[in-house]
Amino acid sequence: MTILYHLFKILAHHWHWGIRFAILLFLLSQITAPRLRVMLENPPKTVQTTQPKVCMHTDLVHEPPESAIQMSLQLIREMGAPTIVEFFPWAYIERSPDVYDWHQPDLILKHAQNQGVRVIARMGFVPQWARPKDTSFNYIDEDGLTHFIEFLVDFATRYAGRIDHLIIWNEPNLAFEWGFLPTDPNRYVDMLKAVYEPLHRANPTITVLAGALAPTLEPEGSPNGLDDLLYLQGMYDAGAQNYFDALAIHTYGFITPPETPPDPRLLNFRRAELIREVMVANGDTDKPTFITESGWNDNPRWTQAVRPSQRIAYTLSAFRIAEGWDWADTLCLWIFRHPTPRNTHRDNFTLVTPFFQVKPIYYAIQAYARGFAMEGALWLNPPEE
Amino acid sequence: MAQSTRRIIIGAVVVGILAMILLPLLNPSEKTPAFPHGMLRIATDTSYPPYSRDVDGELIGVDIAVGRALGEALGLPVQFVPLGIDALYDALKNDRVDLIISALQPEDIMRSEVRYTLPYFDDGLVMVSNADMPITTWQQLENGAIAYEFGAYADEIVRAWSRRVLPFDKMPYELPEYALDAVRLGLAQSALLDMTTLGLYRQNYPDWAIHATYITHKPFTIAVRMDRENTFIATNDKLKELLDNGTIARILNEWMVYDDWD
Repeated sequence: MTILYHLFKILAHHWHWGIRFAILLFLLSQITAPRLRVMLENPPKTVQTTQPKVCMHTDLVHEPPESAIQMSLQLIREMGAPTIVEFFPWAYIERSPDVYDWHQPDLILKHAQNQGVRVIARMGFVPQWARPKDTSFNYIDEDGLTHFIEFLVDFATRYAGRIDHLIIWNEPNLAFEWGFLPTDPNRYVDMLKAVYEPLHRANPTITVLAGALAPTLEPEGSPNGLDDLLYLQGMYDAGAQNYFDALAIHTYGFITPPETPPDPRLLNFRRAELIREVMVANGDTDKPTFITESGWNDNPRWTQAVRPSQRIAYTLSAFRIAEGWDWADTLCLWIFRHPTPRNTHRDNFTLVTPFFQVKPIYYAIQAYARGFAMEGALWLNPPEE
Repeated sequence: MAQSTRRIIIGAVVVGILAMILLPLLNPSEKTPAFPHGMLRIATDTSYPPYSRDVDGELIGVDIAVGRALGEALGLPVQFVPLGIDALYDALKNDRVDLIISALQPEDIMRSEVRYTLPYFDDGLVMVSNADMPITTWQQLENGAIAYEFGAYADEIVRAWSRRVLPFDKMPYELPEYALDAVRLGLAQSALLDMTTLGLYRQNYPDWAIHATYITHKPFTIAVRMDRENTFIATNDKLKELLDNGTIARILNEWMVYDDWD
């Protein structure tokens, strides 16, 4: 206390030194640790691939360091995947009304362009300020929709020419993804009708993707959701046809091989063909589709998972089947990597660990996409008693 | 110091002390019963045997048995709410359930919203060897062989070790059970795989004497909403009782061969 007292006494008598001292303190406070510099590729890279439909759903929005975004996209490029699907949560970007934080989307776009990777944006996730208290991030009402349209227009305008594909909402045929409200294709089509024209005005070359329906067999009236085939027909019945340019499809293999024939009572990879049949039956023959989520899981316990060896074999076969689907622009796998362990079976969908350890399935897809040969057996024969 | 200033300071101290005494009495969490619905509502993902499974409408498994044992210890009827894994935390946050019991590992990003009890099982990776030649550290693998499932988490660990330790043979198999066969038949010194797979495998070979050492940890805990402090305390206390009196070990041994390798 005595030292401080004397210091203030001196400064009071020599006020000009006090000002100098304050300026010095201010300048010192501006010194921070040097940031890790992330160097861009110069010239920018392009994806070398023989299989342009290969695509990855990513989780870059949750990557804290820029270097992790870059490293993920480098690995994706080197794997031979020219497209990613990335989630751009509204709640992360517009944290309060008309106050935007574009930092993370800008970083993602900067590095995607630098690696030559096309980005398809998935949109949704309602901020707290745009919905009633005690509702989930997937709840949207009339007021919320008005704000959502404004956000989408801002997003589409900002990234026009860099992001030209927008998926409107995710899996609206699940109650969980629809704010725990009863699922209703009419209300989802109302959303499409509301956003379609404003988005095309904001970016005339935009492709508005609808659907992204969850593969499910839930019957009419179920509190959990509605069968994706029924829901899609419901969308057409509600007049959706002129309000989307392409359909996003989610089709998972679960425990069946990809060759398993489609069946309306079965959830399997070729269910995508049934989705396509609904489109054709409703006159959308020329409208493209993008498979934006697919894949197999290799968790040792989950009943909907297969073994890691099966996962590799099934995934490669699925890509070969999709080669013959001229109506499908992409086959995107869920999911390339999570920034941190999820500690659930979700970790068993990834191709790369949070610590950037590359799993064998990555190399198998890379060999397929880049045309590399894979030699030698991957595992030993079972031991004999 | 002026007398008025002294009075203000003394008054502030008195108000502060009174606030410290009285505020906890006004804390709503202290007045809320641990289980306000008069039952134990438990969310569980029934696609995860041997922990939680729906067999023709009947819920079975370790987690179901743990939930029932907790209900009995608390003197409450139990209602299970089967949900997909994506909906578990939302159900807890929206007060559709009191607890999540679903082979659940703590997630750091959830810690601001939920509390996790102490673990009732560790499903981490274990290094398994024959009891007469125990392998307890990976350094002992020098010039030996380790078996594991190709592409699984154990594969990641073994590949990481192979870059930093003395030479050893890697023996990838298509299934983790083959890796255990390799150890049991003396083809490999050790196998690396999760504790549940080991426990299930040992049901077929109850006389096989092994040694197991945890290499990684994967604790299964129960999640409670952050603002339900009384619920958390009651659940955690009863779970500890069930662990201490051997109830949890008995439940685990109904579904696998379980030893506490810690």
